[in-house]
Amino acid sequence: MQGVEPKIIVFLCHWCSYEGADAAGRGRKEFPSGNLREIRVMCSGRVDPRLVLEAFRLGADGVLILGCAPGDCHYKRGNIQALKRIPLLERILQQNGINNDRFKFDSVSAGDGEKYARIAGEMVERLRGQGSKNHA
Amino acid sequence: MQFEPVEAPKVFNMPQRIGVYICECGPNIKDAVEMAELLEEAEGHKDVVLAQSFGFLCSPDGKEFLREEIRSHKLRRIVIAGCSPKEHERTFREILKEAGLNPFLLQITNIREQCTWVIQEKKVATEKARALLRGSIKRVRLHEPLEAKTIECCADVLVVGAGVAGINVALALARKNRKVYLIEKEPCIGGRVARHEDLYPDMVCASCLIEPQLDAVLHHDSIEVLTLTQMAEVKGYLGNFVASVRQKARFVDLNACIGCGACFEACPVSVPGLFMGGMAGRKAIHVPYAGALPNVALIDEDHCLRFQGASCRSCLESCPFGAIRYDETDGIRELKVGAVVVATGFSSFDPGKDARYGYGGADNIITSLEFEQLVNSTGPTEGKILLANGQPPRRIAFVHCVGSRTEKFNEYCSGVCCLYTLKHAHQARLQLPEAGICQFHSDLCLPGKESQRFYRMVLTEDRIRFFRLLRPDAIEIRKGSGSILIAHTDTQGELEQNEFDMVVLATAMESDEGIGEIAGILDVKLGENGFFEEADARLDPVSTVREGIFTAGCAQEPKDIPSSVAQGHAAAGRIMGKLEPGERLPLEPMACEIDPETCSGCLVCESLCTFKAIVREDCEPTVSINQAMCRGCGVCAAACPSGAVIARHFSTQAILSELRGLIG
Repeated sequence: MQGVEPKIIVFLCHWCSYEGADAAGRGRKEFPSGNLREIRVMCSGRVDPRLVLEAFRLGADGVLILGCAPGDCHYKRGNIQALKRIPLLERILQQNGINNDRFKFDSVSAGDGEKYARIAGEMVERLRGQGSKNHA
Repeated sequence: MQFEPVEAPKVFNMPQRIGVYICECGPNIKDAVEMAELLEEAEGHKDVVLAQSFGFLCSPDGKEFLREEIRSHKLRRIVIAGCSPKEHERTFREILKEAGLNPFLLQITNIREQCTWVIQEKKVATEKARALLRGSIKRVRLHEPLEAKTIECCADVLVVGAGVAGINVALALARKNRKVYLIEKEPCIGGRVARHEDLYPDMVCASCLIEPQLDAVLHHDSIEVLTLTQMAEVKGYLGNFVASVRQKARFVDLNACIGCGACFEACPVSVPGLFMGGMAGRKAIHVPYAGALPNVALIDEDHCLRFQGASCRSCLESCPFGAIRYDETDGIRELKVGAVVVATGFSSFDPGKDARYGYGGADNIITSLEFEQLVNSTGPTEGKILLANGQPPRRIAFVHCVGSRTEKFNEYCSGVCCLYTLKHAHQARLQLPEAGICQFHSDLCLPGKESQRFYRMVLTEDRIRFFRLLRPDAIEIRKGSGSILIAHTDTQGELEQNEFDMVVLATAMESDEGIGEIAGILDVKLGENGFFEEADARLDPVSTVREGIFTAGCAQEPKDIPSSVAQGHAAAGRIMGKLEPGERLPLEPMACEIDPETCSGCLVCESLCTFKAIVREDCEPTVSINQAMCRGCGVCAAACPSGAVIARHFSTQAILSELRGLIG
């Protein structure tokens, strides 16, 4: 598996986690950002599970959905609505041979570049060990 | 967001003419990526007519350059790669607008914060920047011009509750030419503050403070005060609410009665007061208390002989102004308003719920609100602190935190009781120089710039004894023979017992007992503590989750008078910032919409919408999204099994295209 760099799609909400990812940049955090492909949505609740499945189908090795911390959602409960979908989505992913290491839903506050770098870095590290996803 | 409405062009039939601009951001981007590779990447895409780099696109030169480029190359869509959209999306949308393009035909590629600033290796940064750029170019082709729609709105306001918070909302709004309907369920306005004697920390006279405000409210041309009135129904949204209010009959003409009291003397029915064994009795026709405003009598249906079937006409015959109206009925009024402010105040914790406080079981154990009436010069004892037997007390105990700071009742601290209890002790000392005055507390909450000074004054001048409790509720109060016994556990765990003649319980401020009904009518959820939940507890503490519904005073949480006034002003300010008489209300351009051809009417989306923007009208097979209420989060779009939600600017197609670019 040497030399295979995982590519991770990161869904970021406009209000908190996108800002958190920017904060990691402003803080010049050291983390494997080269493996990340960030995509902005207004709310983590906008991320249709089908978008996650499509990301894997297109060849993503991992998918992260990051929203606001519980209670901080700009739309009050969008992140909670997103969270409700996660258990089912995880099961569907597993049934399709995509293990839990490759998908994560979490929250990152607007100023928390540190947490963003950590969550993203951890997924990259895990997937480096596993190599690229087999799409068959 | 302000820009001219545009006609939706037929996006897909027109040549796209995409311009891609890469900001060098000085060395920040230029030195961190292979610029030539990025430009080559951009130029390779269909419909990209040109790709260029520029030193600083956000500089005046850069902005002028962009405007000129858009015009001269007749560009239809723009991708700008540079800093985060959080930094300059707004700036560049403005540039598009100035150059005659719809501002939503722009996509920003974040190759600084999320790329060059965190990737050391030029090759890796370039590879990522190319992927991000690909995503943006594929996405921008699907952008649609969005209109900044506006709707007509009404700038009038309904304020529910005419206490100190509601009154200050009304006055602030009325000064700016807003019509205000101020409704109050009681027969008089002024709420609890109007019934106070002195206010801490400087012991100013409460009625001197508030009466000029009450007068101003009652005589203001723009404020319509509706007493004995409660909310029945509220429909609509910010700028366009229709509120039904129910007004109880007073049986006295508000405009004719001057409160002279001739009818009180004539009325044959005496009603004992509820307070301390019938103190402060009144007649069936009465004013709530001396000095109540408006100074107009009302008939108490439960006691008036006429309403019990008798033919008494005493008040009618005695009234010199012909103000009595036996045939008046309750009425419903519909009010068109743009916003609603809930200023319904608080209720006091019922200490009868906990046997340890002995409330209800013995005379002379009273709540602090009852003590407030006792010291009030218009109260049942005309301001004298007296026991139920009419004698002055010799030993008074003030007990803090009754129903507060305990998981059993209310976990929170009301934040005002320590100060008013100090005030009560001070008032007692002024009247009763020889009485023994004690306070039972576990902590003292004395915030604010004047409070410590007030505390020191009471402590040094008023000879008050403080007993510190192990816990807020480490106390038992019970009736003794001829006195009240208080047993408490001190901070060392030692039990001690003392005797008193009067015990005053500083009860927790709880949400108003009618708040649940009001929340139901407004369709706004209450928080765990029973108070209204804020849109944002820190940044928008006067707004509720439902746009156009605001809170002032203790409807949000326990507050003192200055905080209630400040929140009233804040609510008025928020409303004035949103609704301007004669102006139209701008709507969220990214509001979602339903494709009625695709919607199956399953209603999955309806319950997910925090803002209640999704409704299915009777007889309609499909739902629709109220454009004035939708905030464009897209939660419904993610949940719709039929794909019937059109999430503007974040359509599934746009997101998928970006995904393909990012991974491809």
